[in-house]
Order: sequence, then structure tokens, then C-alpha cells
Amino acid sequence: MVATESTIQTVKDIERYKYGFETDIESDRAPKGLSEDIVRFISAKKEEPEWMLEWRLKAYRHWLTMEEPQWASLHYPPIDYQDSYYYAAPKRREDGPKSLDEVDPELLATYEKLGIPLKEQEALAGVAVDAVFDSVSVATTYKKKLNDLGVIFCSISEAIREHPELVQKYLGSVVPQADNFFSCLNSAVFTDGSFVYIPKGLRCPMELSTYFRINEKNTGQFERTLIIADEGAYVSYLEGCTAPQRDENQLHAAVVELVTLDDAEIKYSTVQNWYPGDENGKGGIYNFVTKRAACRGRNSKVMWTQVETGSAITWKYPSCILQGDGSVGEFYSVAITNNRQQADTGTKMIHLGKNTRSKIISKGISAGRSEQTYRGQVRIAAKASGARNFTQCDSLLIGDQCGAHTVPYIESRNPSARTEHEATASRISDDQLFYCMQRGLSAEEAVGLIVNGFCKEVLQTLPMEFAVEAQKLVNISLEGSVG
Amino acid sequence: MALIEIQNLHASVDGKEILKGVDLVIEPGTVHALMGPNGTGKSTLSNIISGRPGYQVTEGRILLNGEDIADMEPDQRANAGIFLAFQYPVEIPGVASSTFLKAAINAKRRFQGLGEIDAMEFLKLVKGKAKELGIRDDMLKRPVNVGFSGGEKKRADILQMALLQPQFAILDETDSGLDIDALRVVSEGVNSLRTAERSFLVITHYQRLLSYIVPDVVHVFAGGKIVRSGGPELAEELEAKGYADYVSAA
Amino acid sequence: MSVVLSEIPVVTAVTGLSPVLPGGHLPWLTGLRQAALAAFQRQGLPHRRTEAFKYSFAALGVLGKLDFVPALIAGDATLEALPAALPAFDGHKVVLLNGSYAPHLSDRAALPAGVEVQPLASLLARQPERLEGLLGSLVQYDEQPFAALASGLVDDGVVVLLEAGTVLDRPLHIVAITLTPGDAPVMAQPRLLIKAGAGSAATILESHVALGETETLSLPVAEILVEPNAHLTHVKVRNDTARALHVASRTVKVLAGGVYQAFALSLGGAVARDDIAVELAGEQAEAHLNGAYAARDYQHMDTTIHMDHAVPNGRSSQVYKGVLADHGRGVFQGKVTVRKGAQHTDGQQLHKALLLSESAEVDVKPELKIYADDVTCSHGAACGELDDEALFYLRARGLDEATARDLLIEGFLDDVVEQVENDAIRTVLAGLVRAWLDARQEVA
Repeated sequence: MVATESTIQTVKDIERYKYGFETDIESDRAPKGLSEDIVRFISAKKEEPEWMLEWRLKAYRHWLTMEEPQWASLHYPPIDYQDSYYYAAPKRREDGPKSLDEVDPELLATYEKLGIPLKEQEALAGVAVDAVFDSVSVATTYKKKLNDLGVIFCSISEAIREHPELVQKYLGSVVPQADNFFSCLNSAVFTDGSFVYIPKGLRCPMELSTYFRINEKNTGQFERTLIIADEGAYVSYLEGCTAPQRDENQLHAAVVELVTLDDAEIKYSTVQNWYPGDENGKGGIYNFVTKRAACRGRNSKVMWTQVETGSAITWKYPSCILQGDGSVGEFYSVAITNNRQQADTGTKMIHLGKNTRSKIISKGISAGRSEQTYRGQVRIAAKASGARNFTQCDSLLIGDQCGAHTVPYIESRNPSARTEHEATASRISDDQLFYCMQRGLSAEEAVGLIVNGFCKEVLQTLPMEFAVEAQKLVNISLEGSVG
Repeated sequence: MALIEIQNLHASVDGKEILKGVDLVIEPGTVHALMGPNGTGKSTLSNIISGRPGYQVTEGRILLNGEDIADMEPDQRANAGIFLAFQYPVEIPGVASSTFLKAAINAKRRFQGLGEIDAMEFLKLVKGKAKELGIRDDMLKRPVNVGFSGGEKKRADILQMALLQPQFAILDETDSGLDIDALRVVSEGVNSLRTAERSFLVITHYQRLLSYIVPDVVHVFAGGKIVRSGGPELAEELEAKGYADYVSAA
Repeated sequence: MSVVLSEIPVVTAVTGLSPVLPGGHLPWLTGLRQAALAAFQRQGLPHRRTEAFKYSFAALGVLGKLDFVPALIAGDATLEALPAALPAFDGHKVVLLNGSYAPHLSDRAALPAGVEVQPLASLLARQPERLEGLLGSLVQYDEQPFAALASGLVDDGVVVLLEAGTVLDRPLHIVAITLTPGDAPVMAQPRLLIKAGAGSAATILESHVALGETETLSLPVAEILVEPNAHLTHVKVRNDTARALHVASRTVKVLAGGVYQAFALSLGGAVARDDIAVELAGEQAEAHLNGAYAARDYQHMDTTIHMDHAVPNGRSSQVYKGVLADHGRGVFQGKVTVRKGAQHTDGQQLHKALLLSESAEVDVKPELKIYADDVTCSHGAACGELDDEALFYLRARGLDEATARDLLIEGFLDDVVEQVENDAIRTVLAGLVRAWLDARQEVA
């Protein structure tokens, strides 16, 4: 965790920064609003070198000239970018609940349903440090082991300080600052995120998970993650968790950049269950994420797997740029929207190199009065000979008040490339429902079983523990949608 | 007390009356055959007993162990002991048969106040029963009914019956689409489940099945109701003379 | 938008002409033209951010650069006989030359009772009340900007009215020829209005041919109403010369139990777009849109369809196949909307493209917007090259490579052409496909 002492020290070292507001540097957060001064403040809090501050400022200045995108099928009241906090110090464990007895019982009930082990529940609920002593030491042990193997796995802030050459080389190279409105905002004000570097030839022996950094984690409002797999390396990275996450900050705009060199592979799994708002969608998180992988190396591969069940609004398109000959991009997604959630999500597979392959399996389940759109782009460049794409998007509608839409763009410029796209929309058939009920399952159990079957192809690409939790999460997300 | 008692049951679909006063009493431990020409309402009867939505009961009642099941949902009726072996079992993609079986077993155990079945116990139980019925392990891994042949689907239903141990099982045209060998296997499976407490309602219009699953009582169903009942020899009489007499009378 | 509408000659011309067209004494007609023009001006020519024209706005950019002159002021074109490029048919024929009725080329003598085929201008002059509330009522002005521009000048065309229960004995051939009369490139807006009365049945073949060496612009607008239980088969063939521009807008409304069966064959021209909007407005309505297109050189062909299921129990299908050679570019945007409550909709869509060269391009956007749950909807899009196995098989049976490839390409397109029921029309279409392939062989 970021200790207060070092922060004060840093500020003393950089007293030349003037703040446009009265601040007590010891305070936990900057005042609401966004300005160059806030950007400087964030950079100072993070003890960043000059080049990083310049990078942020460049992004901020460009962001001021940009317009929020309107093309997605999302409807939300205009966001007041000045009405948000852009920096808050990580919560100190000492201020948290002393035990699970002090935690909201409804939250605990959800943890139970998701099958989350007790110790993890404590960590998630922010129970004080000594009660989760085990998890802290577990995390520390792993970190040591990883260090010995040459794996760098730390916060992005630490990487900026400790591994500047790597960060400078790759940051913004996959998602340029000006790529889109939200990535530009993120480039200016990101406060947390992971940095991973896997050295040549190493198959990372354990799954890297943000859970290990839970003690130093911020709320993840503007996360910036950068993962580099050097030649022949492999890593599986898990982001998020099934437990519902609340945050007083409504706007989330993360950026994730992945780079794979020759023969390297990154498997990136996300389970997202941010607070979706009440039955009327009020108060939920807005999740605008830019995730992109550059498969630069020959035969390199990136696999994106996501289970999205939360947030009031989701806008994300994890993509792969298949530059290296023989590179492979895969996208597996389950998105569930209920009540009044809205999701506009999908992927882009850009085939540039020769003999590249992409596979897209998207399963969308709409229930309640929610709206869900799959938006995908498969582009085959003129030189991308031998490219192969297979896309399958299936929508399941539960009830007649929701919407499920598919908007794919398939652009092909090479005659030897083959693209195949199929999309279906359906609902849970009465016959299937009755069959399950006749075998003793309640209507809700039946829906859960059938929907899990519908999502199976995607869920089975998740690492094991994630998969089990994800299945339970699918069931919970559909509560109240039947009958 | 009778296991199943159907009293003057009248039912309609989309305003059209299909069941016109069905009376039927089934004692525990008996096999009743329901025979009759197509389109007379035999399947409607089995659907209504199991609680399938889409039918309107306009008069009469159905009692299970003396209790009126009118207000019970399909899953409640299942847990109370009713099993319907469908004529055309539906496919459920992505849901492995073993996963489904476990969910169904656990639903029943919950109803009985028992905890969930232990994983090892489940495997042992299922594999054991599957073997008895000549069902290969790999079929258990396949999604429910997906790509199953007619015979495989019926065998899967018998396996479910063996695992869920219903009190009353309705076999809706179980013999349709089966060759002699499959018929024999299915019949052996059903016969092995016959006990003093359990009863079966076998719906068919061919006598053939009834040579293997010998009924205690045979009913002729025509014009939306049972028009005649008798012993097993009634089935042979129908085989010889057909349903013409009953259809004209109805 | 970088293009200023008032600086585009054709727009200026249309804006100037519209108020002085015949029929000015009919307030509903002038109102229609003005509203249409206003709708076009609201939207302007498509540009980079116009989603519906995402893949074609650049190709259509030429519209802002050339001095197209509306046919009305361009002077009369003369044509003695129907060009050879047209499918040859005996029987009912109505010919429009630059959007105006050409009596000497038409033949309406043998039309059966209950079938009325009238030139639009003539009907507007003699019985305008029959068109009030009908003409211009189906066009989606805010989604089809070119239909809006063309409607600003609507004055002549063909009106087909089928009385309830009438069956048209033989296909009606409607021909639209575009031909530049002088030096300036001409713009025409052939208009088609079809009303198939309840229970009627007819087959209509609509041919478009642009002739000559200079650029021509055709903006056909078709409004089609299929009344309850009527059955309308509509085959469109476009076979233009190299510099022709063709942006067609079609709106179809199918009422309860009605069936609209359409096929489109698209060949030649420089830039062509078929904008088809179908509304299944009554229960049990059906619409099936099939098509084949083949683009070579630098040709650009765009098919944009919106199938709108407004009520329950509708059935629709779209099957389109395209062949792209040289620097040809194909665009297919097929959208199926199922509105809330439109339960038991069955909506299918399939697009397949064959790319024959490294410079060819195809862009496909099959869209689904679904608001009802008890539906069966699926769409598929595949793009690739000729199957090696099939090629080898043919060659192993003695065919040389070029012949084998052509046979496979022909088969690929004929697959959809085969769906056309009328034997005579089908034969003509197959012939046109064959001719296209032969022409390529000669150049190669």
C-alpha cells in the first residue's frame, strides 16, 4: 500500500508544483474536478518522473479537444467530467470493518452464493489487515518466486519508477493516447493498474491475478495495464472478480495493452461484476474500457475471455491486431444484462500478417428491460493472405421487454482469406424449460442450467476457479428475470 | 389409497375441448396401458398430469396420494413423484447429461430435506445404473439429448427414472421410433423398476410394447375419454380388430 | 460536412426546377416535392459520418463533382428501338426513357382486366385524386436521402394497379433507360408505384439500362404496396455501361398474408446502390429478397436492406451472393429489425462473397435488432475464394483452369438465380451471368 510517509516526502521534493486549490497533501483525495493541476497532483502522488508527467499532460491537452463518441447504442445522461474525483488514496485497512460481522449481510449472502472462500470474503470486504494476514503472506511468497524467475509483476506506478525503459518502450504503443475519448482521459489520469513482463522463453508457472495486489489496490477507476510477453513466453492473467464491487466513482475508463513477441502467448481473462445500479439502472457504474493486443511476433497468440455481468453501462471491445505472420487472436465473451443495464461490447480482429487466424464466440443474454449490442469488426487487409476468421454470436432473450442486437462489420480485401460469420437470436424454449421442471428443477434452476449450457463454450476457456465462480455468477445475474 | 385418481377430467387447448370426462384410478404397484387412435388426447392427458403450461382444466381433478395437484408447478409435481418420459425429448445444448442428472437428483434431495449428493457417490450411482442399462460413459458427457438416436433418448429417460425413483411414471409413446432390440432394452429397464409402490401409465397404440411390459389393466381411449377397460387380453383384441368400434361410438 | 449543398449543380438544379414542374396546381404534389427536398437538404450528401453509407460515401462523392443535368431540362433523348443489352421479352412492356414514358417503345395492349399500367404523368394530369395519399407515402425520406432528392422532381414514371383478386397472366416488363441526350451528363429519376390489391398475383421484371459513353445518374424510386394475401414477384436487373451511376431506393409494405418475392441482378456501371426497405406490417406477411452481383474493374456495388418485422408471425429471408474481380468492391448491409411484440418472427439472412483478385474488396454488415424473444432469427456471412477441391475435381475431369473457375463462379451465382420461378426470366438472368463471365474471359 502507498504509505503516507513517502508521499509527504515526495511532495517536499517537488514543492515547485503549484496547486490551483488549497490542499492538505495528507488528505486522502484531491477535490472534485479535472484540470492540469489535478493531473500534476496525481503524478506527484504517484512519485512519477518528469517524462511520465509530460506524457499525461499531453494526453490531457488532447482530450480537451475531443468529443465523446455517440455511435454506440447506449443512452445515458451527459457525464459531467468535473463532477468526479480523479484521485483518492487507497483505503487503509485500519479503517475497514473489524470482521465480517460488520459487513452488509446482503453482500455476504452474495459471496456465499458465489462460493467465495471465507478468507477471500474478508479481503474483499476490506476487513483489517491482521485478519487477512494469510493472504498477505501468500501474496508475498508468490511475488518472491516470480521475481526469481525474472517475471515482473507489480503496479503500473511501481513499473514507471522501477522499469522506465520497458514502460517507455511499450506504453501507448498499442492504444495510442488519442485513440479514443476514454483512452485519452485514461492516459491523463490513470492511477492504478498492473504491469507484467514475462522474459524470453518463460512459461509463467502461476496465473497472475489482480487479487494478489488487493492490498495496494485503488478502486480501479482509471486502471492502466500493460502486459508484455517476450519471445516464447506465456502468461495467464486474471482480472476482476465475481464479487459485486461498488464504487462511489461512477465513471470507469480503463486501458489494457498487451504485446506478444514471436511465439509468445497471453491469456487474459476478465470477470466483471461492477455495481449495475438499482432496478431502474440508477447509480450503476459506467464502464468504458479500451483493451487491445498487438500480436507483433510470428505465431504469437492472444486470447481474451470475458464474463460481463455488472455495470449500468458497458462499452468495451477487446481487440487483436494480428501483425505477426501466423498470429492468432481469440475472443470469448459472455455478457449478461438484466433490469436496465446496457452493454455495447464486442471485438475487433485486424488481420495484417499472413496466415493469421481469429475466432470470436460471443454469447449475449438479455433479460429484464436491458439492451445489449454485439459490435464487432473483422478486417482483412489486402496483404493478409491466408487469413481465417470464424465468428459466432448468439443472443438469448429472456422475456419480451429486452433487446439484443448484433452489428458486425466484416471487411475483406484479400481473396485467399476466409471469413465466416453466424449469428442467431432465440430464447429459452418452453420445451426445454418444461423438460427441466418435469425432472424436478425449479424454473429458476432450469434457466440457470440452460443458460450455463448456452455459455458453456465460453466459460470453459476460463481458468478453472474462475470458471466455477463464473457459473454461479451467471445464475445470480439472472435472479428475478424469470416468472 | 389409490396412487393416482383422475375424476371427471375435462380440459381444453385454445378453447377446444380435448379431454371430455376422463376417469381413471391407478393403485400402487400396477401398470396401466392407455391405447387409442392418434389425436384423441392421450398425450394431452399425460401433459396435463405433469403440469405442462398451455392447457386449461375446465372440470374435474387429479389426485396424487389423495392430494389435489391442481395448484402444483411442474417441478413440484416432479418432486412429489411424477415422471414423464417424453415422446420427443428436447435437446439442451451445452448442458452435459451428467450435470443435468446431478441437478435433478439434488432438487429431489432438497425436497426431501437431504443435503446435496456427494460427488463420488453421484458418480458411482450414475455409472452403476448406466451400466445396467447399457449406456456408455461417454453418453453421460454429451449434452442432454443432443444428437441422440431415438433409442438413446429413451434409454436416457429410463436412466433418469432409475435415478429419480418416481412413484408414478408416464411413458408417452415410448415405443415410437424404436427397433426390436432397443424396445427390449427399454422394456427391461422399465420392468426392473416395477415395485409394489410404483405405478406406470404406458401410452401406446401398438400392442407390441405390451408384450414386453405386460400391463395389469388396459384402457381404450377414444373421443377424449376412457371408453373401455379390461385385462391384458384387451390389448390383443385391439390388435386384432383395431379401434374402429370405439371411434364410431365416441 | 465539407461539401456545401448549394454548390452542387444537380442539387441546385433540382431545387430550382421543383417549383415549376407540371402539377403545380395540386397542393399535395407541390407539398410532397418541397418536403422531400427539405428532407434531402437536412441530410445532404452522405459523408464520412453517415453510418448507412459507411462503405459507399466515397464512391458516391463523384455526385458532388459532376454537373449532372436533370433530364427535364437536358432535352429529349432519342431511341428508336430497345437496346440489345436488355432482356428480350414478348408481352406487356412499359418503357421509360430518362424517367419519362416512351409510348413508341411500350406495349400495353394485351393487359388483362383488373390490371392497370399507366404512365405517372398521364395519371397525374387526368386523375390525380387516385394518387393523392398514395404517391410518396411509402418513401422513408429521412433514411433514403436519394429518394428524397428524386422525389423533389417526381413527375413521370409507371403506376401499376392490380385490382383485388386479379392475376396477371404474363410478366410485366418495366424498362428504365438512361441516355445522355447532349453533352452534359443526365440525371433521371424513374418512378415506380405498384399497388397489388388483396389476393392479386403478378410478376414484374424491372430492367435498368444506362447507355452511352458519358456519365449518367439514375435515381430510381419504387414504392410497392402488397395488400393482404397478394403475391408479388419482383425481379430487378441492372446492366449499365461503364460510367453509369445508379442509386435506387425501394420501399415495400407487405400487409397481412401478403408475399413479396424479389430478386436483383446487378452488373456493370461505375457505382450502384440498391437501398431496399421492407416493412412486414401485417401478420403472416412474407418477404424474400435474393440477389446476385458481379463487380469488376473499379465497379462499386452496394446493397443495403432493412427488413422491419413490425408485427407477429412474419417470415423473411435474404440471400445475396457477390463476385468481386479486379478492383471491384461489394458492400452488403442487411439489417433485420424485430420490433417489440413481433413474436414468432422468422428472419433469415445469408451473404456470400467470392473475391477473385488481390485488389477486390467486400464489406459486409449483417445487422440484427431484436426486441421480441419468441423469434427465430439468424444471419450468416461468408467470404472466401473458390474451393480448391472443387477446382481440382473439374480439372481432373478435363477442364482447363479458366473454364473450371468460370464454371464454379457461374454455379456460385446461379445458385441464387435458380430461385427465380419464372422460367423465361430465369433463363435470361442465367444468360446475363454467362455473358459477364465470357466478357471477362475475352479480356483475360
